Amino acid sequence: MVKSSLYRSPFAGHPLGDSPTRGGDIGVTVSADMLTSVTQVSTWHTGVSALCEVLGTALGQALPAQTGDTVRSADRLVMRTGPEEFLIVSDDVSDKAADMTALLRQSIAADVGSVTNLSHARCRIHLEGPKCVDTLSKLFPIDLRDPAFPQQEIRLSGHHHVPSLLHRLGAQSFNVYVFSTYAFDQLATVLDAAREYGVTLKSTG
Amino acid sequence: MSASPDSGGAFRTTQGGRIRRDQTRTFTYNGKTLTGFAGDTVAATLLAHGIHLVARSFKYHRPRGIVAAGIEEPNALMTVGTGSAQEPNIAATVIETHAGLAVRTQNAWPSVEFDAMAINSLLSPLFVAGFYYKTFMGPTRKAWMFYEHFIRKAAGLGVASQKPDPDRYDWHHGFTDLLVIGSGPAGLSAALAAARSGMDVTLVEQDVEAGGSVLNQPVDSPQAIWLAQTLADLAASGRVRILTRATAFGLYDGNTVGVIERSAPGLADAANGVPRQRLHILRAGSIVMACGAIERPLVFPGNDRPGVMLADAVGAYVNRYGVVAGRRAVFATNNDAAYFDAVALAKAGAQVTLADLRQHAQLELLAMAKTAGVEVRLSTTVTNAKGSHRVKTCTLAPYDLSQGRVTGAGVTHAVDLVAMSGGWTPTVHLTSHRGIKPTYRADLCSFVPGGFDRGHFGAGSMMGTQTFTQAVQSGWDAAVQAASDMGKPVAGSCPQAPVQADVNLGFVAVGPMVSGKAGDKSFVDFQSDVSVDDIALAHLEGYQSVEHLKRYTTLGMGTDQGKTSNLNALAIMAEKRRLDIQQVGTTTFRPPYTPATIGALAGRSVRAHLQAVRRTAMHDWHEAHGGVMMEAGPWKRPLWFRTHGNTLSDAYKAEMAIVREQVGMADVSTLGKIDVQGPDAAEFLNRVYVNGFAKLPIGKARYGFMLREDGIVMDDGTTSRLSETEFFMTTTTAQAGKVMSHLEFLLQVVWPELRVTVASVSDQWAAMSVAGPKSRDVLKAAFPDVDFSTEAIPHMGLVDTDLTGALAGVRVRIIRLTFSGELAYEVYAPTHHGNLIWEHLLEQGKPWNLRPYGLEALGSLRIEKGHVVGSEMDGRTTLDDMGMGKMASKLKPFWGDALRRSDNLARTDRPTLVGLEPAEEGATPSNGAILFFADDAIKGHGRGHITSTTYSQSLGKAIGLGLLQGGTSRIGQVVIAASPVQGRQYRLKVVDPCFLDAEGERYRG
Repeated sequence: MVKSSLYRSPFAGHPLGDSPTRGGDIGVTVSADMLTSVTQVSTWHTGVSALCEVLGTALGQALPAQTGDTVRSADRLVMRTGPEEFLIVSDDVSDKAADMTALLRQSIAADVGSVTNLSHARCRIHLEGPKCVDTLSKLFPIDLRDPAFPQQEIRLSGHHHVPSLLHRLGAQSFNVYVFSTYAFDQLATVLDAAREYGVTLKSTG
Repeated sequence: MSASPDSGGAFRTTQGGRIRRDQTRTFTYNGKTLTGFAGDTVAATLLAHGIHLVARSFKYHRPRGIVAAGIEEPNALMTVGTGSAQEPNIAATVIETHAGLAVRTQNAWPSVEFDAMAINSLLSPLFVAGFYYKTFMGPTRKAWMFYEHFIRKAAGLGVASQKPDPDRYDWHHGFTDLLVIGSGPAGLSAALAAARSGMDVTLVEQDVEAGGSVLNQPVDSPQAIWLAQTLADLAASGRVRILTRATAFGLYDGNTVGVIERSAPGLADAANGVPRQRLHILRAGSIVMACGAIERPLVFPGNDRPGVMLADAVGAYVNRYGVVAGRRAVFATNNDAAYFDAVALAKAGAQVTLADLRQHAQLELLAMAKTAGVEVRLSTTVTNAKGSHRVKTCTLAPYDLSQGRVTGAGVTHAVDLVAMSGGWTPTVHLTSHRGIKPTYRADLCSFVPGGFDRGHFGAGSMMGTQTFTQAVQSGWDAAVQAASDMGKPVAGSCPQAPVQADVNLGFVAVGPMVSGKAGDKSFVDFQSDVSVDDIALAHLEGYQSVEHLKRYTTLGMGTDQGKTSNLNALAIMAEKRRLDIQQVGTTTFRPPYTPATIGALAGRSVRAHLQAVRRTAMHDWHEAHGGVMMEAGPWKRPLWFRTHGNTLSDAYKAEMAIVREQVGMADVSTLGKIDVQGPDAAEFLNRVYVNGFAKLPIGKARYGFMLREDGIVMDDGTTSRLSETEFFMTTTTAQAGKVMSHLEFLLQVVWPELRVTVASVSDQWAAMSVAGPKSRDVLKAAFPDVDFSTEAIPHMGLVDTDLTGALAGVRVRIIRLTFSGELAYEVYAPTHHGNLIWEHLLEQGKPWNLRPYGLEALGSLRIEKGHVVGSEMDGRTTLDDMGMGKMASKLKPFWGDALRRSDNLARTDRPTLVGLEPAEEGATPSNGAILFFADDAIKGHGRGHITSTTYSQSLGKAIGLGLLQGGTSRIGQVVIAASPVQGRQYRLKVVDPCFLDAEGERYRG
């Protein structure tokens, strides 16, 4: 959660507050944020094992084994977004997050893989509540049932041909990572989709 | 149970039915208030009040009444609602009554009781099948266009509102292990079996409640008791989701089913996001289709009179709605099912005669009928029905099944209701959507599904089951098979279904029967007004194929898709052609099974949510400071700023002058940006671009073109080298996604050996172009720690820098390059800092009057310099066409090089880039005008066309770019520009495409 006058959230302009159903219910709680640190680490198809070894050492943690898996440590989330690609998200401002790219570049040589700073390229929309699955089902053509989408896994989907990365945190809790230039509109879409069930917007980063 | 003169209509029983008699429902019908009960349909309430005449037929405007009780209703189409919420062509048999409902009849003026257009009936010889190919053809060739206006007004259905739809619609992407379509006995049994296997089940039912045909049985019947228990079992399983008011309208690839779910009356609330209809796109592991069967009429003269109804419908109105459709009824049938309906009506107090054209009937049925007081006449059929606004008489005559004809004089009976049953037609539509032709079963006299895709199963009367018990078992078996396919065994066996009154329900060994003679108007397709005579005429005129029969007569082409008419028509056609029905074949049912609203199909993608919207970091600033935004694909970009003029024309010229004379700033964040990294990145770019990039120094940028594989220009852009192994590529806004896909394709498929990664960073960076003679001054003031001298940052040089002071923590990338032809710099800032840097530059640029400029000025400035954009790189042009052929390296291969040398692309007479300016007063070039040489005839494709135009503020005249045969070799010549759309021709002079500062002194300064 980035707080600084140097930043302007792409979500700015969305009013916070409640839009309940006629019966006063709130079925979905939404919050939207910029991200402190987002780093993509990738390699070519012959470089996977070397990259995994180096990256795991650099991060000091196990890496997700397969595309769609995630591993969370205290201060960061590592997502396997492709056979040769990882996305690392950190919310800890004290993690020298802005330097994550530089830190990883010290460990990952150019002939092992690539490190790309996407901290401004992605934002996050968080949904939780008894109707968050119904809300997301309006937008994304993916199977959100528990067996098909277990907790802590990620799925890449899209609405209106715009990619979104869904991370299931719990039975009724999701993070959706969106492109920053689409973020304002995508939050509007989520809020509109949730309107039927009653929705609260708690923050806009 | 007998009819009561009180409570919800004079033809309402005092008890029974599934209606809730403690809750009345009032609505208006043609402005008149009617009262019924909760659970009624409009049709039920109308019949309860003795209203049978509810429509006029499509062509002949004949009086028409309610025929059916469900979605197969062909006649009773109504317009629901008023104003912007008006919706035509809704069958009264499916409209749920509710407070505030307003329905009215349609296609009749001034009323259905007295319709002026009934004169069409007298003119019916003019309106036979295919009349528009044969009549109304003279006296001139254009005469039809005159007649058509009146014909269209005279015939038709309802009228839709022209106002924006006030309701809301939505989508739902659903996934389920097993989808069961239909909640009759077979469907419910399938759902129960699947639930017991542990499958996740979705059951869709088009009616307002689950039960299917059981809903038309008496509420105290064994079938109804079974229904209640089964629904309880399904609920208890926790594994079955039942969607009612949900019609499966189409079956598509990948086990995908389209379902439209209607909200219950009164629940839709657009302001609070509650949709009126929801489109479910359901993806299923397996599908069990238990779609039932639809009763078909008998075909005889006068079978379209109000008060002539399907027998099953009569039974449904009694048992489900407590409505007696008539008090003096004749049932005419060729199968067993009608006996139950006759008995139900008799028990409700009606006088009932049943004519069964078969010689024998089951003893149980005869006994049941006798007990109920129904007079049964075997070997008897109906030969006509008469009456105008209501059937008054019908004639019953002896019928010999073995001879297939009426054998004696008929006897006329006074009636107010004729209930006909010509057999049952399985609902095979969904399998037809998969391109599977149905097959004919002679034992059923019906078509059944001709097969199923893998993972699809059929059950119940759709497959020809004859009894309730068989239907239950078939549903169970289908689910067992589906579960087995998915590796899930079903626990237990099929629960016992009630067997009382379990005689053969509907299918017959007797085919459709047609009586009457030519000219007696025996209708086959009620909705499309197609009679036996029309089919005979089509045959006479040589339309042998069933496909031609359909289209020539319009049979089956109405909103009901011929649900009650198809098989009868095929039987008539078969008789005419002296073929078996299976040899005649069927037409193809296509989605939607029932009419689907455009609103539901569009879902939430309307108005503000029509498409995704993409905003730059400075979007709000633009809107707050007079930016007039336009759509550039999904992007919103400022076209011009109101602070520079009251009109676009004034403003963009002012903005051009700002850039040429002082300094301006444009938001160029929409440019595509791609991060290219890896040991082989330089080699990769060398292969992608036409010009060399392998030796690009670190800290320098280079302009390049990339081609498609066929040699046509794909895109241009600037790529900067950040390190030995890292590059920062920019693309045009429009091609950003395509270029990214292209690079991915090359790396994954064509050159997988290259150690390169690409990542889109379009969203990572906001970008602004500071352009004009004072641009360096502005940047020096804004970023005092950066050396902006030409030595430090030459043209096409770049610097990454961490800002200090109040902007500490912000890193910017500055590239000195120009699109306008002026000294210019592109400043890239991380997106969330974008607005900050934009405002910082404006603040620091005040001494030089730095102001923003929009897309129109941006596009015009580049025309003055002859820089190409998508108007020139339009997917048909080569490097040479745009005068850029010299950029192509001769020293290294690159993508698209081989085919750009192909004969067609290497022709020397291809149109190439030129500049154009007026050669006479008023000769303002217009985009798209076709260019001709001075002595050409002005016709055909000409010698080229104008690609871009603007008014040059610097030159004080209109100018343009174009592609012209001969290109710059024709500089100085005059050409003709012809714009057929505008109706203009004018003379232009060919000039160099670079209008300003050809030596580049301004941007090199």
